[in-house]
Amino acid sequence: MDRTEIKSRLNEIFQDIFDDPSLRISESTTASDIEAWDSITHIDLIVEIEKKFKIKFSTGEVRGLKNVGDLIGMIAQKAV
Amino acid sequence: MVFTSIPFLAFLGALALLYRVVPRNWRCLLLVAASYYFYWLIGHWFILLLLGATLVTYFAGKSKSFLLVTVGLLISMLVFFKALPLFKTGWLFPLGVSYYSFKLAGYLIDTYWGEMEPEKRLLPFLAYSSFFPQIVAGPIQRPESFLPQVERAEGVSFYTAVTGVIRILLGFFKKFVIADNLGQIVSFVYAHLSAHPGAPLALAFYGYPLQMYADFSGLTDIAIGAAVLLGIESPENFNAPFAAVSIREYWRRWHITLTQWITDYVFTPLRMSLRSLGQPGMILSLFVNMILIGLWHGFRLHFAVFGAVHAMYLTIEALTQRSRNRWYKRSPLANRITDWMGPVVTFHLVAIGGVFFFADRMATVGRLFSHLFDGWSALSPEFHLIIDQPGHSLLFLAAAYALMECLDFARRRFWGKDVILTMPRWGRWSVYTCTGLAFAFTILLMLISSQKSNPFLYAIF
Amino acid sequence: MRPVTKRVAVLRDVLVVAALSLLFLGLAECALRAAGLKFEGSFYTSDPELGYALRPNAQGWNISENVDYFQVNSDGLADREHSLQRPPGVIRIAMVGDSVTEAKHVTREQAYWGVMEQVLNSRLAKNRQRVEVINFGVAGYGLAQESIVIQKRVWKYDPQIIVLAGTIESFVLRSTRRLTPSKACEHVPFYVLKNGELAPDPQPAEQEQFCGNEGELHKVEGDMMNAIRLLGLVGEGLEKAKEKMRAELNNGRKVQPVENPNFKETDSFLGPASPDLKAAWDVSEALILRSRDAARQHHAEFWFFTLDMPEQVDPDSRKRADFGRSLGLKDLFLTDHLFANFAASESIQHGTLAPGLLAFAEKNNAILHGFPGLPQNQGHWNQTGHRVAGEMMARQLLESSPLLASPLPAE
Repeated sequence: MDRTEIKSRLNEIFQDIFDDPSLRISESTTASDIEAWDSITHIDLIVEIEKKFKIKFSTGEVRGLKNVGDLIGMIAQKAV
Repeated sequence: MVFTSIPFLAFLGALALLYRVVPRNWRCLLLVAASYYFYWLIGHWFILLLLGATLVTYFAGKSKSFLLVTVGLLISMLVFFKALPLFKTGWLFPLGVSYYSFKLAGYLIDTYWGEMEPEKRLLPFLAYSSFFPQIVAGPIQRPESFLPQVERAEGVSFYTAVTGVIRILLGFFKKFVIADNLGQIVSFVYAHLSAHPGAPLALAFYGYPLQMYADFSGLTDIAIGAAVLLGIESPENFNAPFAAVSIREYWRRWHITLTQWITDYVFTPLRMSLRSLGQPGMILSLFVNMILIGLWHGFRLHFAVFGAVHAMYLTIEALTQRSRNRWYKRSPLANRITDWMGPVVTFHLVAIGGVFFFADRMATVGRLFSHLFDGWSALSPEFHLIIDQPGHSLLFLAAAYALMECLDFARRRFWGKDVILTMPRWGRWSVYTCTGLAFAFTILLMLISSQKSNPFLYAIF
Repeated sequence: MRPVTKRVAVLRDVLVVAALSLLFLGLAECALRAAGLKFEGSFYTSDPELGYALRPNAQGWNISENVDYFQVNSDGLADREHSLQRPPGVIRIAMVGDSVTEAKHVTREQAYWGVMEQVLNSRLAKNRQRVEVINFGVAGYGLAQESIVIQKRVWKYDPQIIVLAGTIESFVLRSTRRLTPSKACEHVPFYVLKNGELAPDPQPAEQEQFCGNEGELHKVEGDMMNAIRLLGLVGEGLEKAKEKMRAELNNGRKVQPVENPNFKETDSFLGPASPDLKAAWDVSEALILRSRDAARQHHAEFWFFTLDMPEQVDPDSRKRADFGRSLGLKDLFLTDHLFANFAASESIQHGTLAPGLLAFAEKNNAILHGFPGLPQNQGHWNQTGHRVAGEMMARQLLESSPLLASPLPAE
């Protein structure tokens, strides 16, 4: 799976979790850019990503994510 | 040595001068020596506990095999000392253990997860856990941000030092003028709860969160300002908490470093391991998280209830998030109203939680809430006595509080490390002279408030 | 051109900085006032004869025991302005005494002599007589200073009645240098008896206590400190700093350099029980006689009143009994009676207020000393104490004063 496809599918997940159909993410988007994105919804996001991409994150990996670009990179590593 | 005392200022002043004068390689040693000296004054033989925990952590960090065991040891140590008062042994409590054990545990967990490389040199690490401005009341700085700074040991320019002094003076203002005075009124009301009608109770209800903010953020200001004088930039711990529109946002603005620590090292891992349980998992994580935050303050029932109350707030907020969002989308007016109402409602929720936090018995909580609307007329003569004392007038305190919020806002918005540099010469020198005058003013106020002298004898003069 | 503008720029900057600093100080002053912070005013100045006296036109806050604004008149009296010339048909009463009479803690109308004045005037109105009370009381005065006031300071107002009033403590313990509460400064007068005659105490002066400075500079300094809170803050702050440093140097021991080790307030209850006390009694009696003689010389009526001590008028009889037992005394009015007997034997009109005040306190379960927020029944009279004492004094004067009992011929 390449990064663009991951990004578009991720965008849908973001729109769903944060209940905002107009949301557009980019590689550099961080939690401070999206108001609803905090530690509680972060895990909701992770759970949804794990379900949709059929992958599993570890706690350490989840903590190390700094922005959407990192997330895409990690998904690309895990998804085949 | 209390932060808000003249000996502390003298100690800090001497240290800041030494820091400037001493060669760069010696600065870390100076900070360690000063911090351990300070800890000896306030903690006496518990200094061995601090040193021991730090050394064990340092070596465990390098070895990679005993990491989690050591974390367990640190937390057990913390739990042990927090639980000790329950057994009424009368043993003393090691000051600062809540802060340095969190710093050390966080360091180990970060190393374990590969977030950072273990610190190679012992001296900066000793400085990290013992750094005296942060050991009494935080902020809980992360090793990744502290260690590089203390290794660089950057010099402190004059104008930066002035910035630090101004921050310290701001803290003194908050503590002396607002927190101590408001605190006396609140304590007085709580001490005679059954004697008061509704009005003083309401005063205590609303006053307590305000007092706590002034007190805690004031101490934090002193801590951050003191660190600036020693070449260390600390993280902020408060960010206009009463502007929060939800409890969730409140905890991102109040005691920020504690919230972040618990979130990163407790909430997120817990939530991750419970994520298969869905919403109940989230709710459980919230309760564990907030109750732990409550218990961090002390192993008392009312602290745990305080945590549970906030967990309940957060749960309700999380569960109703989607339906609320839909409602806002349908009615922009509702959205606008909640923008204004949000902080008001949140403040009330915080105040309710505050009652649980202050009252050390549940009966006290019950009594306050049941009589809150009892009658707003008669105030007892003792109450008037308290209000009539210098500095206790409600109008004065309200004005002082408003001034504090303005100063905090100005600091967040316009102040920076180098802002003095950008001023014209008259601006810089005005800042210097006014800071000097404010400092003298503060010292004089501290001198006279140590005892309000009231001679009973037939005074001659 | 350049050096001139550079100098001008520096000057401009200095002025701006000075202006902003002054503004800052002004804000600090406002903040102190808004907080309601008050500092004890400076009211005293040195006096060559009396050691110290009230400073004319001084005004400021009294914050000990009760917070109120205190003003000294233009002649250095703790009173409103009085004309030197006695108005026709008016009987003038000069009050001489110490801090109880100075009555800094209460208003003029609340002071015992103010109450006395009101009571006398309402009773004498039918005789078309009027009474004017002039207060010469100064805090801390002993009989030596009071007798000098009676000899020299009151007569320019032409009073017809002189009232010397004080507590047994002030009349016994402040007569001699040995027993006085604090180490007095150089100019405060004391007497000793030499061959039965009063003579100035030749003992060397001890400079421990602040005596009050002389001159315009001190007056200006005092007035400024009273008016500007910042200066009051600086003054009190420096005082506290000095105290702390003194305490540090003495290894934290509480050293009170101004306290006299021989002084013990409760000794005044014992009568002439020790050689020191006997010597003090003899001097006191001689000074009272000297005051009486001075009044006689000016054809004025002389009255001598003993007021009360808080322990004597505690409505709780158990506390009084405990206090008496601690002194080994059955009668707490021993000294009062001794003074009364002395006055009677010398044909001095006198009054002893303590027993009557106790009767009032017991009957009404009233506390006559002390103010709210302070320990009960300690320190000076509160408004109730002053009122009851003033009424008692008025009654005694009306009963026994020859001047007040008979209507005066119109002058």
